[in-house]
Amino acid sequence: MTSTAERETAELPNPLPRPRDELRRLQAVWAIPEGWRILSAVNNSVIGYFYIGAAFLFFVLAGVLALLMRVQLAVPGNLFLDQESYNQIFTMHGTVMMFLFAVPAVEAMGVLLLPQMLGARDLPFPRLGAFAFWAYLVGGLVFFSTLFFDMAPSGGWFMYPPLTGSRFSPGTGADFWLLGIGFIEISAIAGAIEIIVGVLRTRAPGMSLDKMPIFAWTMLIFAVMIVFAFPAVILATMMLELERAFDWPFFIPDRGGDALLWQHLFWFFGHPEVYIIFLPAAGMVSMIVPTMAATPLVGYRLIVVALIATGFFSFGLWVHHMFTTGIPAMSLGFFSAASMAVSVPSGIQVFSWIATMAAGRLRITAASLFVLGFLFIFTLGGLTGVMVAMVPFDWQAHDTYFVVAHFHYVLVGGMVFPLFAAFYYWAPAFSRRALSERLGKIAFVLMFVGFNIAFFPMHIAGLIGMPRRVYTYPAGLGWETPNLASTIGAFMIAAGVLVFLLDLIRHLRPTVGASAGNVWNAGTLEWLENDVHAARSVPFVESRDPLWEDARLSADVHKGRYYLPGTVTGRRETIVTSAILAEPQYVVRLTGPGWAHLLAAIFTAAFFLLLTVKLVTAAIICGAVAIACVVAWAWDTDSPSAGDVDIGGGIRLPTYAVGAASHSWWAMIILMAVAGALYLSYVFSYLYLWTVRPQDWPPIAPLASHAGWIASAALLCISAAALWASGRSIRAAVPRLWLTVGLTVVGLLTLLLGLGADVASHWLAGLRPQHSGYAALVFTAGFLQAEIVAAVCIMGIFACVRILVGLTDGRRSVVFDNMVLLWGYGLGQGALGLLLTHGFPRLGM
Amino acid sequence: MRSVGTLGIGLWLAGPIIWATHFIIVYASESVACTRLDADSHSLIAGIATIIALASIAFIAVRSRAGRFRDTAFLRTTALTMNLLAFLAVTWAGIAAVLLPSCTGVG
Ligand code: HEM
Ligand SMILES: [Cu+2]
Repeated sequence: MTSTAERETAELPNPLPRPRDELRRLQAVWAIPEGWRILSAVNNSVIGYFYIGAAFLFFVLAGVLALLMRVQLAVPGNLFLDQESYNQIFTMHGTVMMFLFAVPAVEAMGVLLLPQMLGARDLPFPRLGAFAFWAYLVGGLVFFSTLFFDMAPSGGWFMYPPLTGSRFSPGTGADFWLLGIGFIEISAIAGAIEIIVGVLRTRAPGMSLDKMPIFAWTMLIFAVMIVFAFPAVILATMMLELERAFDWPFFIPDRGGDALLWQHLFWFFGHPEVYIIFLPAAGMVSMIVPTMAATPLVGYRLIVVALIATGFFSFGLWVHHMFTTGIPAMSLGFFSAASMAVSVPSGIQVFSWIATMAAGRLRITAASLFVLGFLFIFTLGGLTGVMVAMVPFDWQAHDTYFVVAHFHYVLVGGMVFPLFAAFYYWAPAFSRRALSERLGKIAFVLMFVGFNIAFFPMHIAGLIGMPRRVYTYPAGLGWETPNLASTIGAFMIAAGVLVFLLDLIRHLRPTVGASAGNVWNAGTLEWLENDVHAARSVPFVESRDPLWEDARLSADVHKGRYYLPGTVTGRRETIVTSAILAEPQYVVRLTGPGWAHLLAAIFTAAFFLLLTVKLVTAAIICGAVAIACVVAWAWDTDSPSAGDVDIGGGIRLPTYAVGAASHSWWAMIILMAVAGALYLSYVFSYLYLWTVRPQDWPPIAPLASHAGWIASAALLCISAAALWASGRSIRAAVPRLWLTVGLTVVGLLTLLLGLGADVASHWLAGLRPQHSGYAALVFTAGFLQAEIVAAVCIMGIFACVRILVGLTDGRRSVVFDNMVLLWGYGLGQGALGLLLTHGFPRLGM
Repeated sequence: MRSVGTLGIGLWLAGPIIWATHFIIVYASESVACTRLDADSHSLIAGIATIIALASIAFIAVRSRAGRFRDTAFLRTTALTMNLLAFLAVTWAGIAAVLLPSCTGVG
């Protein structure tokens, strides 16, 4: 490693002085739209700001709901809220906190911080990120406002059927939950795809995986976990909505369904969700602690291992939420052991932080106080977690206030405190002024003391028998004191949040170009001088704390002496690097501001929400408009090659890439992983129901004839042949584009017909989805396949039109290649569906 | 640090991947064994799966110290530690699966 003194300034990639108008042109292409047009902006700094603001708004709203509940429970027999309102309020509090605050808040921190931290100019899909944000904001606000119309869901945040089935929840509340939250999960997945590709492909040259800041590691693992966990709950919400709307009895035991299937799918998502929220917060702590202790993080490698291990292990714990459902003893022990194992990697992280604090000298700032508060509260939550992981204890504590205390210690300790630490720590990077240390410390004391006064007594209330989710309780059971204490504590937390809000109003002055700067003397790249275009030039990274290693880095980057100091194509651009070593591969041009993605978000939200209130025609119109907007937005994203460009240091990079080098190929692969995870959850549901209800399977239920699957398989084979041939023809030496288009159309039609033949064969055999849980699952295969086929068809038509107008061909082929990838996936999924729904019942087990 | 390719990444994550496979096999085979076979067969399946999983983690841990990750300290130590954690987690869950009675409630 070259030290500052050794390095000759002449070695840097770009010479001084820089051309006169280089900076001006760079600023012009990255300019943020002025006035109300800022709504069309896609810069990660703007969207990140909006995103955090929105998430914080939902935190405050759900916090107000918590206060209402605490007022109601302050004294026995209170008449402040009636039972139904209380049910709606605790359901909305839990749902909003988990889905509209916690996940979006950490995703927002990623959007705001990652590009700067990684030395990129922006995230790789700016409009996708903006779309995800707007969809979340519109959907979330409408969802929240159902409370004001007495239409909110009231079945608890995990929405167990049969309570949430149409028999016991006939209103629209449950539908709002299913469609609204299902939709917001889709937006979270869009954000996750952007984050994975951003972290893996847009790091500054030289920032190999072992030099990546821990926060980026946590965001990467966070996003990968979303890709595998969210599909399970999306499938579950889809099935429950099909049950409610069309009477497909997945979860109705009398009709061959099974209520526990919901719990399996929900918690297969729900437990990893806890870590999805916690890991990025831990990542923030791993950035704050070294700076505040002025020493590098102790045990970087151990922490990376702990993060990856937590990511994996957290998928093996979901049954611990179901210890009281009467599952076999072996499963109990098995999941109990797994639940205790997951505390090992979390322990590793805690010890690393403590060691870092011990290695340096921790400056006591507001941010470090929130970190210390986090350590204390989260560790206590972890200890009660080990307690409830023990089955006999859980049987006593399940569904009591002990559990409410436990998960608030984990969630508030593990996520809210780190988030406040992060606000105090990173504000100077994004605001003209730092936040006030004095107000920050007051907020901390109020929140920390208030939190323990509010939630510690809940352990006791729970142990002496108070169940959760009760809207009131009688006097004389010994529950009065802990409950009154909890209410007082809750208002202290609220006072702390108010002080923080006051601090924001007095000191936060959002800016992208003139921030207070590196006031903590931190070592990572987000503390370089930033403007609308992020740093002026893209540094070469040689260590984990580049600003500490090279005292002149900041100045040299700012003078434009590193890579890509201006715009080389006259457009927004960033360097795409290889995933492991971060070697520069090509320069990608990024999209600028626009309206299509914003309209697409609004109309997608409208589509889902109108479906909820059964305005089907209006919903379909909005859905069509949304698709049209997506097409309009996608139309100009695939810019043709602008030849090779010079980024400095003698490095010339291409401006177009196809295949595995292309960042959009990566996004498509991740999307396929999402679809695959959804389908695997479906396969699990099918096999699960078979193990509990084999008596509903054929021969009792009608079985489709052989002709059905043979026809369907033959059509899929023709489609596969057409897929292969169209791929060859577009790259042929003498491309015949009409042939490509013709083959694509034939291939898509046969894909569609293959699906039709499959569904028709079940129908003609006399099977109807309303017959039984089995029948509903058979038709679900067709439903899932129809979604993929529809997506492939839209992409196929899009690609064909572009081929015909000359915008897509054998070399400029990203649009076509992406369609081919999803098409290939669709063929595989179709074949697996045939094996499962036609082959499995014939095994005769 | 040098590039290791897709296979290398798979090898790097071998410990956790084996853990996941073992987990699925032990958990899924219970319901199949209990509905189609008998309780003892599940303990047998779980025992064999656990031994195979532990052996493969140990094998990969020993081999990868010399093999593909030889000159990359970051990949080598992280792979080794992940194998260690996975070994622990497989043992833990495996013991529970083998020792506890299958196919019965706790009643
Ligand atoms: C900071 C102040 C907070 C207070 C005073 C508070 C208070 C409460 C109360 C009183 C309940 C209802 C208990 C019951 O009736 O069973 C509850 C439930 C819940 N809270 Fe909080 N909470 C806070 C923050 C949070 C945060 C930050 C999260 C998540 C990130 C969260 C997630 C939940 C969940 C998931 C439930 C369960 C809802 C259900 O039973 O369906 N809470 N909280
Ligand atoms: Cu859990």
